[in-house]
Amino acid sequence: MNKNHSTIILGIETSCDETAAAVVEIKNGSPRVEAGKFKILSNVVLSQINTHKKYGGVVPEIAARMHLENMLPVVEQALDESKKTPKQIDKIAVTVGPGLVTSLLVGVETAKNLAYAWRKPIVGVNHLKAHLYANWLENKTIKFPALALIVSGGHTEIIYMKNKTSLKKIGQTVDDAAGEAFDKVAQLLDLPYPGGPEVSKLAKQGDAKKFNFPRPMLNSKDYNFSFSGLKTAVLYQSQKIKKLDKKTKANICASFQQAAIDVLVSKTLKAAEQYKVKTIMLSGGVAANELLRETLAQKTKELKLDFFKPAQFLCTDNATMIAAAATFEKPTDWKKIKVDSNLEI
Amino acid sequence: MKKHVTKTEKQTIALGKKFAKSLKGGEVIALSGNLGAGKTIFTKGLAEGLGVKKIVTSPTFILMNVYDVKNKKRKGDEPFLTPQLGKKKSKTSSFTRSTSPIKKLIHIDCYRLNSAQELETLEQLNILTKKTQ
Repeated sequence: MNKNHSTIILGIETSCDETAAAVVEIKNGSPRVEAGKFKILSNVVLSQINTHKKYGGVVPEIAARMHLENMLPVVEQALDESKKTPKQIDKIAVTVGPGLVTSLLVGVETAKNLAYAWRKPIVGVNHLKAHLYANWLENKTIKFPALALIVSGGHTEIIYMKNKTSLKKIGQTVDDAAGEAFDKVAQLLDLPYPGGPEVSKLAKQGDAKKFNFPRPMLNSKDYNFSFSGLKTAVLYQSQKIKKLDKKTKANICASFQQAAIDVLVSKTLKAAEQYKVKTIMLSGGVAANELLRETLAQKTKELKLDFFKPAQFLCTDNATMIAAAATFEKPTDWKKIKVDSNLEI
Repeated sequence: MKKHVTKTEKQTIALGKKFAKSLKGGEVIALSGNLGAGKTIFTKGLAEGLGVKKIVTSPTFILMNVYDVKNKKRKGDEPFLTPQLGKKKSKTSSFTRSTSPIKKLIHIDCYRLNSAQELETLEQLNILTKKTQ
Protein backbone atom coordinates (compact mmCIF):
# COMPACT_ATOMS: atom_id res chain seq x y z
CA MET A 1 0.00 0.00 0.00
CA ASN A 2 1.12 3.49 -0.81
CA LYS A 3 2.64 5.22 2.22
CA ASN A 4 0.56 8.32 1.75
CA HIS A 5 -2.59 6.47 0.98
CA SER A 6 -5.52 7.23 3.23
CA THR A 7 -8.72 5.31 3.79
CA ILE A 8 -11.98 7.14 4.39
CA ILE A 9 -14.54 5.26 6.47
CA LEU A 10 -18.17 6.16 7.00
CA GLY A 11 -19.46 4.80 10.30
CA ILE A 12 -23.14 4.29 11.13
CA GLU A 13 -24.59 3.53 14.56
CA THR A 14 -28.21 3.02 15.65
CA SER A 15 -28.08 0.34 18.34
CA CYS A 16 -30.19 2.16 20.90
CA ASP A 17 -31.54 5.70 20.98
CA GLU A 18 -28.78 7.61 19.24
CA THR A 19 -28.75 8.05 15.47
CA ALA A 20 -25.10 8.55 14.58
CA ALA A 21 -22.82 8.84 11.58
CA ALA A 22 -19.16 9.78 11.36
CA VAL A 23 -16.39 10.02 8.81
CA VAL A 24 -12.91 8.95 9.87
CA GLU A 25 -9.75 9.13 7.83
CA ILE A 26 -7.01 6.54 8.35
CA LYS A 27 -3.75 8.06 7.18
CA ASN A 28 -0.27 7.15 6.00
CA GLY A 29 -1.22 3.79 4.58
CA SER A 30 -2.01 2.43 8.02
CA PRO A 31 -4.41 -0.51 7.95
CA ARG A 32 -5.84 0.36 11.36
CA VAL A 33 -6.60 3.19 13.72
CA GLU A 34 -3.29 3.94 15.40
CA ALA A 35 -1.74 6.84 17.26
CA GLY A 36 -1.08 9.70 14.87
CA LYS A 37 -2.54 7.88 11.91
CA PHE A 38 -6.13 8.94 11.88
CA LYS A 39 -8.36 11.97 11.83
CA ILE A 40 -11.99 12.32 12.86
CA LEU A 41 -13.47 14.33 9.99
CA SER A 42 -17.00 14.43 11.37
CA ASN A 43 -18.96 12.97 14.27
CA VAL A 44 -22.70 13.52 14.19
CA VAL A 45 -24.87 12.18 17.02
CA LEU A 46 -28.58 12.82 17.19
CA SER A 47 -29.88 11.80 20.59
CA GLN A 48 -33.49 10.89 21.19
CA ILE A 49 -33.17 11.23 24.96
CA ASN A 50 -35.68 14.07 25.21
CA THR A 51 -38.34 12.00 23.50
CA HIS A 52 -37.80 8.90 25.65
CA LYS A 53 -37.51 10.91 28.85
CA LYS A 54 -41.23 11.06 29.36
CA TYR A 55 -41.48 7.26 29.21
CA GLY A 56 -38.63 6.67 31.65
CA GLY A 57 -36.68 4.64 29.13
CA VAL A 58 -36.18 3.89 25.46
CA VAL A 59 -39.42 2.92 23.74
CA PRO A 60 -38.37 0.61 20.91
CA GLU A 61 -41.08 1.49 18.44
CA ILE A 62 -40.57 5.23 18.83
CA ALA A 63 -36.80 4.79 18.66
CA ALA A 64 -37.05 2.89 15.37
CA ARG A 65 -39.34 5.47 13.84
CA MET A 66 -37.05 8.32 14.84
CA HIS A 67 -34.00 6.50 13.52
CA LEU A 68 -35.81 6.13 10.19
CA GLU A 69 -36.62 9.81 10.05
CA ASN A 70 -33.16 10.97 11.01
CA MET A 71 -30.80 8.42 9.53
CA LEU A 72 -30.27 9.92 6.09
CA PRO A 73 -30.06 13.54 7.25
CA VAL A 74 -27.49 12.46 9.86
CA VAL A 75 -25.41 10.63 7.22
CA GLU A 76 -25.69 13.64 4.95
CA GLN A 77 -24.52 15.97 7.69
CA ALA A 78 -21.57 13.70 8.52
CA LEU A 79 -20.54 13.74 4.86
CA ASP A 80 -21.00 17.51 4.59
CA GLU A 81 -18.96 18.25 7.69
CA SER A 82 -16.18 15.93 6.55
CA LYS A 83 -16.18 17.65 3.13
CA LYS A 84 -16.16 14.24 1.50
CA THR A 85 -18.39 13.01 -1.27
CA PRO A 86 -19.81 9.49 -1.40
CA LYS A 87 -17.29 8.78 -4.15
CA GLN A 88 -14.41 9.42 -1.75
CA ILE A 89 -15.68 6.96 0.85
CA ASP A 90 -13.66 3.74 0.83
CA LYS A 91 -15.61 1.70 3.33
CA ILE A 92 -18.88 1.70 5.23
CA ALA A 93 -18.96 0.46 8.83
CA VAL A 94 -22.17 -0.32 10.69
CA THR A 95 -23.18 -1.65 14.10
CA VAL A 96 -24.82 -5.07 13.74
CA GLY A 97 -25.31 -5.73 17.46
CA PRO A 98 -25.79 -6.00 20.34
CA GLY A 99 -28.71 -3.66 20.82
CA LEU A 100 -32.38 -3.16 20.16
CA VAL A 101 -33.27 -5.13 17.08
CA THR A 102 -35.74 -2.51 15.84
CA SER A 103 -33.12 0.22 16.16
CA LEU A 104 -30.23 -1.80 14.75
CA LEU A 105 -32.19 -2.67 11.62
CA VAL A 106 -32.46 0.96 10.52
CA GLY A 107 -28.71 1.53 10.56
CA VAL A 108 -27.92 -1.84 9.05
CA GLU A 109 -30.41 -1.54 6.20
CA THR A 110 -29.27 2.01 5.46
CA ALA A 111 -25.63 0.94 5.40
CA LYS A 112 -26.41 -2.01 3.15
CA ASN A 113 -28.35 0.19 0.77
CA LEU A 114 -25.53 2.72 0.61
CA ALA A 115 -22.94 -0.02 0.12
CA TYR A 116 -24.98 -1.41 -2.74
CA ALA A 117 -25.75 1.91 -4.38
CA TRP A 118 -22.25 3.35 -3.98
CA ARG A 119 -20.54 0.00 -4.56
CA LYS A 120 -18.49 0.13 -1.37
CA PRO A 121 -17.20 -2.62 0.89
CA ILE A 122 -19.08 -2.88 4.16
CA VAL A 123 -17.99 -3.99 7.62
CA GLY A 124 -20.36 -5.24 10.33
CA VAL A 125 -19.19 -4.00 13.72
CA ASN A 126 -19.80 -5.36 17.22
CA HIS A 127 -20.94 -2.40 19.33
CA LEU A 128 -19.10 -3.63 22.43
CA LYS A 129 -15.83 -4.04 20.56
CA ALA A 130 -16.32 -0.53 19.23
CA HIS A 131 -16.61 0.83 22.78
CA LEU A 132 -13.31 -0.84 23.50
CA TYR A 133 -11.58 0.36 20.33
CA ALA A 134 -12.68 3.91 21.17
CA ASN A 135 -9.54 3.88 23.32
CA TRP A 136 -7.47 3.77 20.14
CA LEU A 137 -8.79 7.23 19.34
CA GLU A 138 -6.84 8.66 22.28
CA ASN A 139 -3.82 8.96 20.02
CA LYS A 140 -1.44 7.06 22.28
CA THR A 141 0.20 3.69 21.86
CA ILE A 142 -1.42 0.97 23.93
CA LYS A 143 0.83 -1.57 25.62
CA PHE A 144 -0.20 -5.20 25.83
CA PRO A 145 -1.41 -7.29 27.50
CA ALA A 146 -4.29 -5.03 28.39
CA LEU A 147 -7.56 -5.20 30.23
CA ALA A 148 -10.75 -3.40 29.28
CA LEU A 149 -13.69 -2.68 31.53
CA ILE A 150 -16.77 -2.04 29.41
CA VAL A 151 -19.61 -0.51 31.39
CA SER A 152 -22.84 0.67 29.83
CA GLY A 153 -26.59 0.59 30.19
CA GLY A 154 -26.71 -2.89 28.76
CA HIS A 155 -23.34 -4.40 29.58
CA THR A 156 -20.69 -4.79 32.23
CA GLU A 157 -17.76 -6.88 31.05
CA ILE A 158 -14.06 -7.34 31.61
CA ILE A 159 -12.13 -8.15 28.45
CA TYR A 160 -8.57 -9.42 28.38
CA MET A 161 -6.51 -8.47 25.34
CA LYS A 162 -3.29 -10.31 24.61
CA ASN A 163 -2.78 -8.11 21.59
CA LYS A 164 -4.87 -5.63 19.67
CA THR A 165 -7.05 -8.21 17.97
CA SER A 166 -7.28 -10.94 20.60
CA LEU A 167 -10.28 -10.30 22.85
CA LYS A 168 -11.33 -12.63 25.62
CA LYS A 169 -14.23 -12.02 27.96
CA ILE A 170 -13.11 -12.99 31.46
CA GLY A 171 -15.97 -11.53 33.48
CA GLN A 172 -19.44 -10.09 33.12
CA THR A 173 -22.52 -9.15 35.09
CA VAL A 174 -24.66 -12.09 36.10
CA ASP A 175 -27.82 -9.98 36.26
CA ASP A 176 -28.17 -6.21 35.75
CA ALA A 177 -25.62 -4.08 33.93
CA ALA A 178 -23.99 -1.33 35.99
CA GLY A 179 -25.68 1.39 33.95
CA GLU A 180 -29.01 -0.34 34.38
CA ALA A 181 -28.55 -0.32 38.16
CA PHE A 182 -27.92 3.44 38.00
CA ASP A 183 -31.04 3.91 35.89
CA LYS A 184 -33.16 1.78 38.19
CA VAL A 185 -31.94 3.51 41.33
CA ALA A 186 -32.84 6.81 39.67
CA GLN A 187 -36.28 5.41 38.97
CA LEU A 188 -36.69 4.37 42.62
CA LEU A 189 -35.83 7.86 43.73
CA ASP A 190 -38.02 9.55 41.15
CA LEU A 191 -35.09 11.09 39.32
CA PRO A 192 -35.43 11.86 35.62
CA TYR A 193 -34.22 9.61 32.79
CA PRO A 194 -31.44 8.86 31.90
CA GLY A 195 -30.72 8.05 35.50
CA GLY A 196 -26.98 7.51 35.46
CA PRO A 197 -25.88 11.15 35.16
CA GLU A 198 -28.68 12.24 37.55
CA VAL A 199 -27.53 9.81 40.25
CA SER A 200 -23.91 10.96 39.97
CA LYS A 201 -24.96 14.59 39.99
CA LEU A 202 -26.99 14.20 43.16
CA ALA A 203 -24.31 11.97 44.69
CA LYS A 204 -21.93 14.93 44.72
CA GLN A 205 -24.05 16.56 47.43
CA GLY A 206 -24.38 13.38 49.45
CA ASP A 207 -22.41 11.37 51.98
CA ALA A 208 -21.14 8.08 50.53
CA LYS A 209 -20.77 6.62 54.02
CA LYS A 210 -24.30 7.32 55.14
CA PHE A 211 -25.68 3.98 54.02
CA ASN A 212 -23.72 0.79 53.96
CA PHE A 213 -25.00 -0.88 50.81
CA PRO A 214 -23.72 -4.33 49.86
CA ARG A 215 -20.79 -4.81 47.51
CA PRO A 216 -22.11 -7.89 45.70
CA MET A 217 -19.58 -10.52 44.67
CA LEU A 218 -16.69 -8.38 45.85
CA ASN A 219 -14.90 -11.41 47.21
CA SER A 220 -16.00 -13.99 44.67
CA LYS A 221 -13.12 -15.72 42.94
CA ASP A 222 -14.25 -14.94 39.42
CA TYR A 223 -14.41 -11.59 37.63
CA ASN A 224 -18.17 -11.48 37.44
CA PHE A 225 -20.39 -8.71 38.75
CA SER A 226 -23.86 -8.55 40.21
CA PHE A 227 -25.83 -5.35 40.62
CA SER A 228 -29.34 -6.65 41.10
CA GLY A 229 -28.95 -7.19 44.86
CA LEU A 230 -27.47 -3.74 45.29
CA LYS A 231 -30.45 -2.22 43.52
CA THR A 232 -32.81 -4.20 45.78
CA ALA A 233 -30.90 -3.02 48.86
CA VAL A 234 -31.43 0.55 47.72
CA LEU A 235 -35.13 -0.20 47.23
CA TYR A 236 -35.53 -1.59 50.77
CA GLN A 237 -33.58 1.29 52.25
CA SER A 238 -35.66 3.90 50.47
CA GLN A 239 -38.87 2.17 51.55
CA LYS A 240 -37.72 2.31 55.18
CA ILE A 241 -37.42 6.06 55.07
CA LYS A 242 -40.78 7.77 55.35
CA LYS A 243 -39.93 11.04 53.72
CA LEU A 244 -37.31 11.04 51.02
CA ASP A 245 -36.05 14.59 51.02
CA LYS A 246 -33.33 15.78 48.70
CA LYS A 247 -30.60 15.35 51.29
CA THR A 248 -31.54 11.72 51.91
CA LYS A 249 -31.77 11.04 48.21
CA ALA A 250 -28.31 12.54 47.75
CA ASN A 251 -26.95 10.30 50.50
CA ILE A 252 -28.56 7.24 48.93
CA CYS A 253 -27.13 8.17 45.52
CA ALA A 254 -23.65 8.73 46.93
CA SER A 255 -23.68 5.51 48.95
CA PHE A 256 -25.04 3.49 46.05
CA GLN A 257 -22.59 4.95 43.57
CA GLN A 258 -19.70 4.22 45.91
CA ALA A 259 -20.80 0.61 46.33
CA ALA A 260 -21.13 0.07 42.57
CA ILE A 261 -17.80 1.71 41.82
CA ASP A 262 -16.01 -0.16 44.61
CA VAL A 263 -16.98 -3.45 42.99
CA LEU A 264 -16.16 -2.32 39.44
CA VAL A 265 -12.75 -1.00 40.42
CA SER A 266 -11.78 -3.81 42.77
CA LYS A 267 -12.67 -6.57 40.29
CA THR A 268 -10.84 -4.81 37.48
CA LEU A 269 -7.71 -4.38 39.57
CA LYS A 270 -7.85 -8.00 40.71
CA ALA A 271 -8.04 -9.15 37.11
CA ALA A 272 -5.23 -6.76 36.16
CA GLU A 273 -3.01 -8.30 38.79
CA GLN A 274 -3.88 -11.88 37.88
CA TYR A 275 -3.35 -11.32 34.15
CA LYS A 276 -0.27 -9.13 34.68
CA VAL A 277 -1.45 -6.48 32.27
CA LYS A 278 0.33 -3.26 31.39
CA THR A 279 -2.73 -1.26 30.50
CA ILE A 280 -6.24 -0.77 31.80
CA MET A 281 -8.92 0.70 29.56
CA LEU A 282 -12.31 2.01 30.53
CA SER A 283 -15.12 2.14 27.98
CA GLY A 284 -18.85 2.45 27.51
CA GLY A 285 -21.48 4.95 28.57
CA VAL A 286 -20.83 4.55 32.31
CA ALA A 287 -17.17 5.36 31.64
CA ALA A 288 -18.44 8.93 31.54
CA ASN A 289 -19.02 8.65 35.31
CA GLU A 290 -16.50 10.98 36.91
CA LEU A 291 -15.99 9.09 40.14
CA LEU A 292 -15.35 5.86 38.26
CA ARG A 293 -12.90 7.54 35.91
CA GLU A 294 -11.04 9.24 38.74
CA THR A 295 -10.92 6.23 41.04
CA LEU A 296 -9.68 3.90 38.33
CA ALA A 297 -7.17 6.47 37.09
CA GLN A 298 -5.74 6.92 40.56
CA LYS A 299 -5.54 3.20 41.34
CA THR A 300 -3.86 2.36 38.06
CA LYS A 301 -1.35 5.11 38.71
CA GLU A 302 -0.50 3.54 42.06
CA LEU A 303 0.07 0.25 40.29
CA LYS A 304 2.16 2.01 37.61
CA LEU A 305 -0.11 0.83 34.83
CA ASP A 306 -1.16 2.79 31.77
CA PHE A 307 -4.73 4.00 31.97
CA PHE A 308 -6.92 4.79 29.00
CA LYS A 309 -10.36 6.25 28.82
CA PRO A 310 -11.94 7.70 25.72
CA ALA A 311 -12.95 11.36 25.70
CA GLN A 312 -16.51 11.88 26.97
CA PHE A 313 -18.00 12.21 23.49
CA LEU A 314 -16.46 8.89 22.50
CA CYS A 315 -17.71 7.06 25.63
CA THR A 316 -21.38 7.49 24.88
CA ASP A 317 -22.75 5.93 21.70
CA ASN A 318 -21.22 7.41 18.55
CA ALA A 319 -20.28 6.33 15.04
CA THR A 320 -16.62 7.35 15.19
CA MET A 321 -15.86 4.34 17.35
CA ILE A 322 -17.75 2.16 14.86
CA ALA A 323 -15.54 3.40 12.02
CA ALA A 324 -12.47 2.89 14.21
CA ALA A 325 -13.45 -0.67 15.16
CA ALA A 326 -14.09 -1.48 11.51
CA THR A 327 -10.37 -1.15 10.82
CA PHE A 328 -9.85 -4.29 12.91
CA GLU A 329 -12.30 -6.34 10.86
CA LYS A 330 -12.52 -7.52 7.30
CA PRO A 331 -15.09 -6.07 4.91
CA THR A 332 -17.70 -8.40 3.56
CA ASP A 333 -20.43 -8.63 0.98
CA TRP A 334 -23.44 -6.48 1.90
CA LYS A 335 -25.67 -9.52 1.57
CA LYS A 336 -23.90 -11.12 4.49
CA ILE A 337 -24.46 -8.28 6.92
CA LYS A 338 -27.11 -9.23 9.45
CA VAL A 339 -28.41 -7.80 12.67
CA ASP A 340 -27.73 -9.85 15.80
CA SER A 341 -29.24 -8.18 18.85
CA ASN A 342 -27.64 -10.68 21.24
CA LEU A 343 -24.16 -10.46 19.73
CA GLU A 344 -21.32 -11.01 22.23
CA ILE A 345 -17.60 -10.38 22.35
CA MET B 1 -54.18 -21.49 42.00
CA LYS B 2 -51.07 -22.59 43.81
CA LYS B 3 -49.13 -20.13 45.89
CA HIS B 4 -45.44 -20.36 46.66
CA VAL B 5 -43.58 -17.97 48.90
CA THR B 6 -39.82 -17.67 48.62
CA LYS B 7 -37.74 -15.64 51.01
CA THR B 8 -34.27 -15.77 49.56
CA GLU B 9 -32.62 -15.64 46.16
CA LYS B 10 -31.70 -19.30 46.51
CA GLN B 11 -35.29 -20.28 47.15
CA THR B 12 -36.50 -18.28 44.13
CA ILE B 13 -33.90 -19.96 41.92
CA ALA B 14 -34.90 -23.37 43.25
CA LEU B 15 -38.55 -22.63 42.53
CA GLY B 16 -37.69 -21.59 38.97
CA LYS B 17 -35.71 -24.76 38.49
CA LYS B 18 -38.53 -26.90 39.77
CA PHE B 19 -41.06 -25.04 37.65
CA ALA B 20 -38.91 -25.60 34.55
CA LYS B 21 -39.51 -29.32 34.82
CA SER B 22 -43.23 -28.88 34.38
CA LEU B 23 -42.79 -27.07 31.05
CA LYS B 24 -43.35 -28.77 27.74
CA GLY B 25 -42.56 -25.95 25.34
CA GLY B 26 -44.75 -23.22 23.91
CA GLU B 27 -45.74 -21.79 27.26
CA VAL B 28 -45.83 -18.08 27.94
CA ILE B 29 -44.98 -17.24 31.52
CA ALA B 30 -45.86 -13.83 32.87
CA LEU B 31 -43.63 -12.47 35.60
CA SER B 32 -45.20 -9.52 37.27
CA GLY B 33 -43.73 -7.61 40.16
CA ASN B 34 -41.95 -4.48 41.24
CA LEU B 35 -38.32 -3.66 40.78
CA GLY B 36 -36.30 -6.10 42.84
CA ALA B 37 -39.16 -8.60 43.20
CA GLY B 38 -37.00 -11.38 41.78
CA LYS B 39 -38.24 -11.72 38.21
CA THR B 40 -34.78 -12.12 36.72
CA ILE B 41 -33.72 -14.40 39.58
CA PHE B 42 -36.70 -16.66 38.93
CA THR B 43 -35.77 -16.75 35.25
CA LYS B 44 -32.23 -17.74 36.19
CA GLY B 45 -33.61 -20.78 38.01
CA LEU B 46 -35.95 -21.54 35.15
CA ALA B 47 -33.11 -21.35 32.64
CA GLU B 48 -30.92 -23.55 34.77
CA GLY B 49 -33.70 -26.09 35.05
CA LEU B 50 -34.09 -26.11 31.26
CA GLY B 51 -30.37 -26.54 30.69
CA VAL B 52 -29.46 -23.09 29.42
CA LYS B 53 -25.69 -22.75 29.61
CA LYS B 54 -25.35 -19.00 29.27
CA ILE B 55 -25.64 -16.58 32.15
CA VAL B 56 -29.16 -15.17 32.25
CA THR B 57 -28.97 -11.40 32.60
CA SER B 58 -31.62 -8.73 32.82
CA PRO B 59 -33.38 -8.15 29.48
CA THR B 60 -34.12 -4.50 30.26
CA PHE B 61 -31.65 -3.01 27.82
CA ILE B 62 -32.30 -4.96 24.65
CA LEU B 63 -35.81 -6.05 25.71
CA MET B 64 -35.45 -9.59 24.53
CA ASN B 65 -32.80 -12.17 25.30
CA VAL B 66 -32.87 -15.46 23.45
CA TYR B 67 -31.15 -18.46 25.01
CA ASP B 68 -30.51 -21.82 23.42
CA VAL B 69 -31.56 -24.74 25.55
CA LYS B 70 -28.55 -26.99 25.25
CA ASN B 71 -28.61 -30.69 24.73
CA LYS B 72 -26.28 -32.89 26.75
CA LYS B 73 -23.79 -32.95 23.92
CA ARG B 74 -21.49 -30.01 24.25
CA LYS B 75 -19.77 -29.39 20.95
CA GLY B 76 -21.47 -28.59 17.70
CA ASP B 77 -24.91 -28.73 19.19
CA GLU B 78 -25.97 -25.36 17.84
CA PRO B 79 -28.05 -24.34 16.11
CA PHE B 80 -30.09 -27.09 14.53
CA LEU B 81 -30.50 -29.60 17.23
CA THR B 82 -33.09 -32.28 16.92
CA PRO B 83 -34.76 -32.82 20.23
CA GLN B 84 -34.90 -36.37 21.36
CA LEU B 85 -38.60 -36.75 21.51
CA GLY B 86 -40.38 -39.77 22.80
CA LYS B 87 -37.96 -40.56 25.58
CA LYS B 88 -39.24 -40.38 29.08
CA LYS B 89 -38.06 -37.53 31.23
CA SER B 90 -35.50 -38.50 33.76
CA LYS B 91 -36.13 -37.58 37.36
CA THR B 92 -32.84 -35.81 37.92
CA SER B 93 -32.77 -32.29 36.65
CA SER B 94 -29.37 -32.53 34.98
CA PHE B 95 -30.73 -35.03 32.53
CA THR B 96 -34.06 -33.51 31.71
CA ARG B 97 -32.49 -31.14 29.25
CA SER B 98 -31.41 -33.95 26.97
CA THR B 99 -34.96 -35.11 26.57
CA SER B 100 -36.75 -31.78 26.62
CA PRO B 101 -38.35 -30.70 23.35
CA ILE B 102 -37.78 -27.08 24.37
CA LYS B 103 -35.20 -25.44 22.13
CA LYS B 104 -35.20 -21.86 23.20
CA LEU B 105 -35.93 -19.73 26.20
CA ILE B 106 -36.98 -16.19 25.34
CA HIS B 107 -36.78 -13.66 28.14
CA ILE B 108 -38.64 -10.43 27.48
CA ASP B 109 -38.94 -7.16 29.35
CA CYS B 110 -42.39 -5.76 28.58
CA TYR B 111 -42.01 -2.64 30.68
CA ARG B 112 -41.53 -0.23 27.81
CA LEU B 113 -43.73 -1.87 25.21
CA ASN B 114 -46.86 -0.01 24.24
CA SER B 115 -48.86 -2.89 22.85
CA ALA B 116 -48.88 -6.61 22.23
CA GLN B 117 -48.43 -5.86 18.55
CA GLU B 118 -45.05 -4.35 19.33
CA LEU B 119 -44.00 -7.50 21.08
CA GLU B 120 -44.97 -9.54 18.05
CA THR B 121 -42.95 -7.31 15.74
CA LEU B 122 -39.98 -7.53 18.05
CA GLU B 123 -40.15 -11.28 18.22
CA GLN B 124 -40.50 -11.71 14.48
CA LEU B 125 -37.62 -9.37 13.81
CA ASN B 126 -35.43 -11.18 16.30
CA ILE B 127 -36.15 -14.52 14.74
CA LEU B 128 -35.74 -13.22 11.20
CA THR B 129 -32.45 -11.53 11.87
CA LYS B 130 -30.88 -14.30 13.91
CA LYS B 131 -27.57 -15.17 12.33
CA THR B 132 -28.17 -18.89 12.38
CA GLN B 133 -31.18 -18.80 10.11
